[in-house]
Amino acid sequence: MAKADVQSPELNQTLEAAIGPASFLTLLQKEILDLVMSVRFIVLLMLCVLLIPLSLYVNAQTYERWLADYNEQLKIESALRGSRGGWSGTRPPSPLAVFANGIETSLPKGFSIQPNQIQMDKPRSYGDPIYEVFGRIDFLFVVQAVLSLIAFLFAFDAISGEKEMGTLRLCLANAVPRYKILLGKFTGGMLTLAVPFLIATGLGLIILTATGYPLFDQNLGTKVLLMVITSIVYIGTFYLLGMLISSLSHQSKTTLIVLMLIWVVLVLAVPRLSIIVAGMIRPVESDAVIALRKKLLVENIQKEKGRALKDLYFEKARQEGLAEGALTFDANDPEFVRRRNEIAKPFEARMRDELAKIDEDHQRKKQRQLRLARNIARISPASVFAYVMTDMADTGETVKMRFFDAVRRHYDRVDRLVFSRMYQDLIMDEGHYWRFGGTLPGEERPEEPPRFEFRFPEISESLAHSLPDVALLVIYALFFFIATHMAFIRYDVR
Amino acid sequence: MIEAINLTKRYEDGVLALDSLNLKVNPGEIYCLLGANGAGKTTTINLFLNFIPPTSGTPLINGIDVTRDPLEAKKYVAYLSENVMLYGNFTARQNLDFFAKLGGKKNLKKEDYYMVMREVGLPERAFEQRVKEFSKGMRQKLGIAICMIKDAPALLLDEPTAGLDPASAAEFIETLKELRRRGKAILMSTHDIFRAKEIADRVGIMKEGRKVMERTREELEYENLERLYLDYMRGGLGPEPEERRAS
Ligand SMILES: Nc1ncnc2c1ncn2[C@@H]1O[C@H](COP(=O)(O)OP(=O)(O)O)[C@@H](O)[C@H]1O
Ligand SMILES: [Mg+2]
Repeated sequence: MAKADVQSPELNQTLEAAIGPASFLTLLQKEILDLVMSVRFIVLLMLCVLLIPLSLYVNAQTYERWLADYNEQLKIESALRGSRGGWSGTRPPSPLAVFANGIETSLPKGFSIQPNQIQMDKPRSYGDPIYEVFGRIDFLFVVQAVLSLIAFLFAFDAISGEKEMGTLRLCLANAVPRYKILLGKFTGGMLTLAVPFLIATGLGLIILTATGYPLFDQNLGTKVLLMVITSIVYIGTFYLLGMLISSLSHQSKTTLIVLMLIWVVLVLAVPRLSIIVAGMIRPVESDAVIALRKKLLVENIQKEKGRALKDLYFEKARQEGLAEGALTFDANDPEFVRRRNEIAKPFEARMRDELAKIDEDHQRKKQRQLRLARNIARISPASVFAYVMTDMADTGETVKMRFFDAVRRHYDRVDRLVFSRMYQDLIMDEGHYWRFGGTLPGEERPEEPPRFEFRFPEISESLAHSLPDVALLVIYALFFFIATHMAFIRYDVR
Repeated sequence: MIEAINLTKRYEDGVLALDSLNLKVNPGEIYCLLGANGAGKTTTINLFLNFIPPTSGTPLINGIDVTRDPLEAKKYVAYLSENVMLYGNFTARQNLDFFAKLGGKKNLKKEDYYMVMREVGLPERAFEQRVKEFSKGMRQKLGIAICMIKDAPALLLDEPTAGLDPASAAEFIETLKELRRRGKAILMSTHDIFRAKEIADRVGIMKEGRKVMERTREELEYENLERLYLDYMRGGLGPEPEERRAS
């Protein structure tokens, strides 16, 4: 060892170096080394390399099947075109559901319509054995639940553990400002978390492209990139939260217990409870109740209309000299048709209006409840992250709303072009009833029934929609960082 | 080099842990703080490291007020705490390397680290061994090595011989003498009266936060330190008059 005393300029120079950027690199290097040599790093590495590529592969296979199913459905529909086939529609699967299943599995895969009724199909996942066994594990789940947990495991002893080991005291006996220690810990921890994650994701993407997944089509690649970046911000948020709790406690064991509790609340409880709480604050009738109400309404108005038409039909039968109990809809009598329409059309218009009102009202209430649930859930970064990911993947609430809107628009089109040119009358008299139905004379059906069209949102739209949530995630991270800094400045290192 | 002026610490819960302490350790001097558990020794050392703020008074390192400019002051001080665990996953050398770099020592080679570890009496086989397999004494020795490698002009040692076997403690005393020869100012707290008498240039006895006695090496030639210590502990003797302390 070199001899040195206070006055030596040489010593001063070396000491000068201690507070330069070099000490940051020293801290960073130590942090990475310390984490990499710990068991949790092996756990992280194994879980990432196992779960991410495997989930991507399995989900891609599922997507392939959905896509084949969708194309088959389209073929059947165009074969049935001209008959009632044109009145149904199928929803294409979102390719990015491979990364975030979202609503893709629970949303009806298509629908069929009849006058005054929209019948939704079963969801895609219905009866899908692979989905039922494995499908719930997607990239979103791995990051949201597994990596957030590992981020906590990386962070829990960051401050309180070093205090217990006495190393924090030793570090701070040097000319190192506290923020630098914090920065070294944050950067080191994030690098150690991000690198295995990125490697595993890269591996997964290679497997995807190798099996024919269209990663480079449309804007998929860009969206995947954004999802990966968001994932890293999310992992950082949890890592910082872990550091915050660690710098608020003096025992790493306590920190770990508190963090497990926080994890359960943020990742498991809040996203589910938000829906329940929103349901209590803003109750909405179930879809089944609404369907029944609509059915009742249709029946009532049909009966009213029948009563109003009864005299016309009986008069017609008398004129024609038909036998007792025989009624007819005479399409060749323009006067009868004119008078029938005059009476029936106002009822039909009223039915259309009232059905639309029930639908609109129901939709509005559902939207409001959903918005409330989302806002409640936003107290957890895990929910915010899920919103961003599903919005990016076109498997979020936006797409759900878009789909239902598209279905309603399609119904309106079919209604205008087809149903409004049809008649359906129900005449009742002393326990007897007669049904008449068909195309009104002079109003032929269009050759080509309208096709159902569904387009995923443009990338700019998805981005704009998820931007507030991304910002919120960043705000969470910044908040945790500042709070950690403030806690650590006051931290009692003894 | 190391100086306390009317240093006082009252903890948040009202405990007066340090009451108007004055002491000075010059370069090339070893100052031993004696005192029962809870006398305020660790509090004193923590105040010199700015781990806790003083209630009043000034701790100085190299003439720098620690409370005013802690980062500047810490450049000139090396520290060994009671029962340090260190980084268990790291080897002895990796621990030493990290703290050396943090202390501003660059470009040290493996040999430099080995030399210091040899000097503190760490067995050769332990150099590349993980610290979590170390005994308490071995960790203590590595702590001393960490303290030494910074090569700072002021040393604060909190019970450095606690946990050392007699042979290692004797070795440690030799190391301290070498450091003194190099001109370091050393402030150490200890329970070991014999060693204190052997190496201290100045001894202070603390009781309930007050320095009740201070003797120089020369003065101790004619007095029995152990007797003095026990007398003060028993409370037989009150604090010395002010003039005596000021000397
Ligand atoms: N953080 C604290 N809060 C309150 N009292 C404390 C704290 N740390 C130490 N003390 C009290 O201060 C006194 C001196 O303690 P300390 O300096 O650790 O003694 P020593 O190192 O001489 O054994 C003791 O009475 C102890 O109980
Ligand atoms: Mg003590």
